[in-house]
Amino acid sequence: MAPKDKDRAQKRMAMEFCIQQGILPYMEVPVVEEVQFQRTPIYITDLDVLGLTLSWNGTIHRTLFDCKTSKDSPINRAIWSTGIVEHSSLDEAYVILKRSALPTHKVTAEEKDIYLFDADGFEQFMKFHGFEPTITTSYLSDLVALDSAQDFIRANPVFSASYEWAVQRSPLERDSARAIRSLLAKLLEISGELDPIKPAHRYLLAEIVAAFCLHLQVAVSRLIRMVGASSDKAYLEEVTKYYLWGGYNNFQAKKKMSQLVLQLEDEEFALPAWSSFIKLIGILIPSVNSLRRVPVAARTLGLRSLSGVVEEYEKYTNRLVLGDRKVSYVYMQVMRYLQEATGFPRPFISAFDEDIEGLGKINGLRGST
Amino acid sequence: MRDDRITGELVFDIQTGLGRTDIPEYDLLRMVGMGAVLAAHIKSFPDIPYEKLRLVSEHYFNIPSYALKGVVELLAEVELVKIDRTGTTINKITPNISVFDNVYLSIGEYSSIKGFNELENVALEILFRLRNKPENLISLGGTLGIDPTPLSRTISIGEKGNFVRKYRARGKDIILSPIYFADGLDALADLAASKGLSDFETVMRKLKSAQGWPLDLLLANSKLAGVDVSREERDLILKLVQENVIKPPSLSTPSGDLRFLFTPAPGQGRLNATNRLIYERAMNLVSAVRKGQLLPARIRIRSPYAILRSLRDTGYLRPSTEAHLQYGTLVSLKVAVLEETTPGWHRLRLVQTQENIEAINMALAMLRTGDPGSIEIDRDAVIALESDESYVESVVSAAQFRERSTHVLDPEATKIFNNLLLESD
Repeated sequence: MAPKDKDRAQKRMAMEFCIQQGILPYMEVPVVEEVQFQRTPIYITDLDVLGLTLSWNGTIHRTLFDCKTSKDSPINRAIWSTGIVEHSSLDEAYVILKRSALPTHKVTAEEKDIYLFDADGFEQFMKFHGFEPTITTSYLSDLVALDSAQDFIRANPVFSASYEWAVQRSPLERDSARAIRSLLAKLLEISGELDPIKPAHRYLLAEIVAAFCLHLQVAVSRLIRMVGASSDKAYLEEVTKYYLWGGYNNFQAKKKMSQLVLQLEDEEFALPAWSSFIKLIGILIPSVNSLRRVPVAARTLGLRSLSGVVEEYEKYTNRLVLGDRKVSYVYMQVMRYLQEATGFPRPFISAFDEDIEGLGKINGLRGST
Repeated sequence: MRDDRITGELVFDIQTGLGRTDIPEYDLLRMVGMGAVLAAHIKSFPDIPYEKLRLVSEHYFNIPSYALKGVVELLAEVELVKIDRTGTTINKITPNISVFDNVYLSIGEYSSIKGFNELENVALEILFRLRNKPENLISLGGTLGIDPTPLSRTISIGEKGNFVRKYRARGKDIILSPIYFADGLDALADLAASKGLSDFETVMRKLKSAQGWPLDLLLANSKLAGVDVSREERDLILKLVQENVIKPPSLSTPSGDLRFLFTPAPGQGRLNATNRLIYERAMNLVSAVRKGQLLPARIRIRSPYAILRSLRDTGYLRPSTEAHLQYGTLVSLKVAVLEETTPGWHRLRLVQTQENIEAINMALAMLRTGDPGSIEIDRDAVIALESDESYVESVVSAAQFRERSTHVLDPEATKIFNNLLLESD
């Protein structure tokens, strides 16, 4: 948890590795007990680096990078990691230790999808996968930028709940429908606090949009399968509605509650700006492959706003945002929907638009992509 | 500087917003507020039987029957009505207000003599500021030297009474009055929070003196009715249009849509549904004649005012070859019809309804003074006062059924409940 702990070099390397492999990395993700029997949340541990691989079919593959410079016994650490992988429903873990593990222990651990490395071994492993671990190529693996994001949240507690959802809870959330609803709720809570001229506010909004897109790509992939060949908008709307509210019965129960309390008419219960949401889904269905690339692009642009332009990272950012012209298009469409649904100041949209335009101008690639 | 006339208008607005909500801290303000509402609606009326007045006041003006006697006596004290009574029973009242009298001034003068309490003064001062533009709550409190307790109590009363609305924008508390602004309130609050409204009052003044000016003309020469408009002011007008704070009516022409600028429409408290319809017709009437005056295809209208007055007084406008281009919107709004006199020549004929005549009068007032006139008058209430008692009784009893099903929720509570639903499993 401490921002400047001794495992930082390894964490940075793991972040960088993820970026090079097209994996979406999150650093120091807290694992908190979901069901609580006390007033305060029970914190179990931190995931040093959590990498999310977004598959073409809308599934998310979660990889833990556990960085330990202490002299723990490798097999003990492997067993601990097995537990945390199971507890948090992760898919695998790369455990980077100070001491080398015995080959037998490595084989035993790998049977549980736990891969044991010592620091040198992991560096070598990264080199074999074709990148230089000592270089930082992105705002996302720049620990100074990530630290300043956390400093901002610590100094502005009004934003902590939305930041936690976007950056800490959302990567581990398995229920994408719930994540979509919760992120909307969190953004609604803070929309009156956000100021587009403040870079840190632009960063936070970008993180929320990234998390929204992360779960939206799962939702859209599922909806594509559910709707099949139908081009009936009414059917899409009905399926989407039930999916988002956890099924027909749950939807009806929430609708009934809402009607009783708010005295709504029969058809009024829906996500905020519902018709725009359905329109957005219609736009995202044929763009689902690009939607998958939005979270990393959004987070990168957000950190770029926060830390200012760093020349070394621009090449990667440019490729990320402008390499597929649909990425920025989808990003802005999602942003527009969220603005309509939550009412954050509209100048955020022009600010992000300008960031993207500026990226194209600096690098002269906008027209060629 | 708040003069007596403005004080009279403000108490009218506060009373209209509060309706029947009881505010224990308000004393004189409620009585003069009710007096202003009643007086404004009985201008030039003959005798009104007290029983009818009681029903109409209760139903349309939210003046409870137990308060009416005091209100009528107040109006008698300022010589706006005469009371006919037998013993302590009031039989009828006789309004003593000519069309040239300003009831708000009379009520304001009376209020100045009697004197408001501290909380009433705070409400009036705040609303006085909010007539012109939204304000930052903390800064306004500081500027006016209001202590935090009366300030927050006034905002809470204002929100309940729908004459103040508080917004959280860019981390600041912004207050504005939905009485004076109807549309794009979120955007207006955001502009205020971003300090984007420094030219707002100047812009409003310039727009008021050029009601119905074509947007394209402003963009082409940066002038409104001959008055220079700075680049910042022009950008602000564009921003207000983009954000729907100003909703310019448009007119389709073969060369594209033309849009015409007006000051922002007032909110529900000043402009009810019936008057809004008339207001929209008036804006379209002004736009149509402005098009002929400023952007004619061939023949220029010299005096838009004279043209509209002629339409009102004769019911026609002379045939022309441009009428179908200029007055198409008026036809779709059922204000007028176009009659082809000879091929290619159309004559505009006014559809003679009370609303259309009032729309022309409102349009004339807009052209002459920039102000639409007495838009705060509830025309349904005036009709009720003109009708016999059985009509009023039928309206009141029908409304009682509706009232029972009305259910108003605190917007903040609604927001919290919706968020809880969104987040629950």
